[in-house]
Amino acid sequence: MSAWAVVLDDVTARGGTPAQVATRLGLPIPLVQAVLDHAERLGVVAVAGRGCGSGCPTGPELPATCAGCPLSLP
Amino acid sequence: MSCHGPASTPVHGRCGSATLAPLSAPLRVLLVGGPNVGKSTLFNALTGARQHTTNAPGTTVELATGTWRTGGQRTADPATERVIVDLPGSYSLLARSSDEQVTADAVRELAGSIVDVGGQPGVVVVVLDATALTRSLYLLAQVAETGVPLVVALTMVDLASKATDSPTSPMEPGALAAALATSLGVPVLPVNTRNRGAGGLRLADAVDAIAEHPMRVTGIDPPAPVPDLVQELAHAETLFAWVEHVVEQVTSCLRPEPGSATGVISGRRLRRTFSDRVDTVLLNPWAGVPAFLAVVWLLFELTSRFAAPLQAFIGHLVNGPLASALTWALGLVGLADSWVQGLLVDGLLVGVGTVLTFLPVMAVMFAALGLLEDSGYLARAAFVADRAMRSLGLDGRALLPLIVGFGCNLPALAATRTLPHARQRLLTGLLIPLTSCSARLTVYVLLAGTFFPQHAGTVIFGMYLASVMLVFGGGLLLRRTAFRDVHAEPLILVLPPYQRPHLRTLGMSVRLRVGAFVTGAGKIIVGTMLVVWVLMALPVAGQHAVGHVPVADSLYGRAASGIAPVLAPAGFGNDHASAALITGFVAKEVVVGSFAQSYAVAKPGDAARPGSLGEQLRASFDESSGGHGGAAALAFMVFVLAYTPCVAALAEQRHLFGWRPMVSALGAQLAGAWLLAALVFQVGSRL
Repeated sequence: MSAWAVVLDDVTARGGTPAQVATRLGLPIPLVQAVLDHAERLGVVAVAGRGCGSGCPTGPELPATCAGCPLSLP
Repeated sequence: MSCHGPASTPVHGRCGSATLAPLSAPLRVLLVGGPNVGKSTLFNALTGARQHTTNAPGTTVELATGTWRTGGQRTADPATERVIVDLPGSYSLLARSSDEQVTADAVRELAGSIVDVGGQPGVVVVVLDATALTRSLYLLAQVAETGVPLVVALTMVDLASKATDSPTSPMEPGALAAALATSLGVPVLPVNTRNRGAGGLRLADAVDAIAEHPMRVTGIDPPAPVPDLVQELAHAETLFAWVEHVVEQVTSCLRPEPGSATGVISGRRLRRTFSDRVDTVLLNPWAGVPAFLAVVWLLFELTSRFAAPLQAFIGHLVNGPLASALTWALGLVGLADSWVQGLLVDGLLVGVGTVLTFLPVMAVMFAALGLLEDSGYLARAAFVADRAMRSLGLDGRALLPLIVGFGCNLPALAATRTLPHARQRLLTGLLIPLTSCSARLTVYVLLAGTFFPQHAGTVIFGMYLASVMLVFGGGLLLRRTAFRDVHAEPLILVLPPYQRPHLRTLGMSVRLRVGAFVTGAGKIIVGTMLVVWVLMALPVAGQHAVGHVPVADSLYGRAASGIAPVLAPAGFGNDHASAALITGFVAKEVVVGSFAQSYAVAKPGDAARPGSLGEQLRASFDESSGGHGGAAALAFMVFVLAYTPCVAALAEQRHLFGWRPMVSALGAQLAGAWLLAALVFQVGSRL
């Protein structure tokens, strides 16, 4: 299996930071980062914790999910 | 395979040393690379002072453009000038930001213009970071797929030999470049960006040569023109297989001893970090879930203990000195005991006071959640919860909207748009109202502090636990009845490393969000409070002047009295509670204000009011529950948790799913809330 497949399989089953995935699989961290970054750009991976806990994004970076929220910032 | 190119010439994979010739048109050179690879330093070294900055067309993204001049004057070579553009740092040509889009567009535009007959000649210099070779190769592959002529500039070579996670370290700079050139089939030039761009002349030679004799990167073919996601995923597999293949070739070249390089990464051991050790516990389902529950319990304990005294102080200040001062001032202008006094003191001031009393709760909550998120813990909690969700058969991707729902249901409903299937969106959208939004917290804080002052934090924690159980229970019920066709799909979550929260950023975030609450939700609360006052000021029975109406004879009181008997089995069948629940349809933040307002107006003109809001609440709930005020208060909180969050959420549900699901959900929420509240009271009052 390629790095693409093993990284996605591992992070699906066990989760973790890119460094943790790299440690478990014995892959270079930049390779794991590149795989996860590409997967996130394709929409098949999400970075956990990007919620409403702290700070609202503003301006043109405001995501659609914040539309209508009374707590969102202009 | 030969791994080493000539040491004194540009390292070319196929074409060897290039013969320089003056170019008839200025060559356009694009510098492309990831952030912090030394790209801009290289640009400065190559152009010196011959550069200027402009915005990319139609954007606010700044582009540095300069003249890259070599030869002439004191050298034997003819002078050659090129136009070089320092594009924004980008990890990928699949752009995610306006900066990255500018880079992607520039590369594709150059590729397009080269295809045209007579198009402006151009070359892309891809800057590869030797310390993160795999990541850089991924970008290189994407650039190569566009078909542009390209040359590779290799930076950070001296640092690569010290990097523990580089698959190619240790190595000689020239050897690494030669091995890469052989594998890629295009020129690869090591440059030292910290030494005035040493290697720049050889880079210029290679750029000029490749402009005249373009070469393709070995093993890279143009992708399908309009790929769908399945093709994109297959393409990604190909792309990373190519990256691995290149690194493996390079590794084999640099470590030719048998057994020393059986793969890109074989034999490499990475050190366990602090995050690794902590995550061993927190990502373990058996330890992670109790740890998460403990953290949330602590959060609500802190909220109730820190915020409650401040809330009480603000409440006393608004209802005492401020109300008295406003009444006195109105008396001075002859408006004492008029409807204007009622509107301003019992309507506007109560509304403003309600908003102000929320501020400590909101500030503590935002600060605590911000700390958890900034530290990286919230991501772990999401991961542990994701596993639990999947074990129940719910789609993992529904987790993020549900987490957002604990902040506010409205954006959470909007977030369901990110789910891929309509049925998944509907299922998640029906569960979101069961997540306990921060507006409901204000009701919990008031009632838990009033009826369970010694265990307020635990009671509030219990409400959030009940919310999670409702989501899970509701999810299971729906999945096994109306949503049997929805199948779980795994969510892939990447966790950020743990880090120390930035207190200044956190403080600014809390300030901004509290400010947004005052100006956003505050307007709704004050506006609703004024409407409630008008309803309480309009008489529907008896001979009363407007603004001097006992609550029981007002429009507000009559509506509340009509509903109160329905709520009697739940123990809170009194006018104040039922009226507060009606106003809660507007927004849950209004419930507390409605209580405060109705109790204040219930005793008009009584200078010595019979106790605080809490004491009046206790008296009402004790009376309507036959002496079981605590059980009735719990039932009321459960009702607030389970019934419709607000009209805005209803509107969003109608917008997303249509009238029928929205009306069905409304009916189910009201019936479910009533059943649960009655159950809690009936059981609680018998204990």
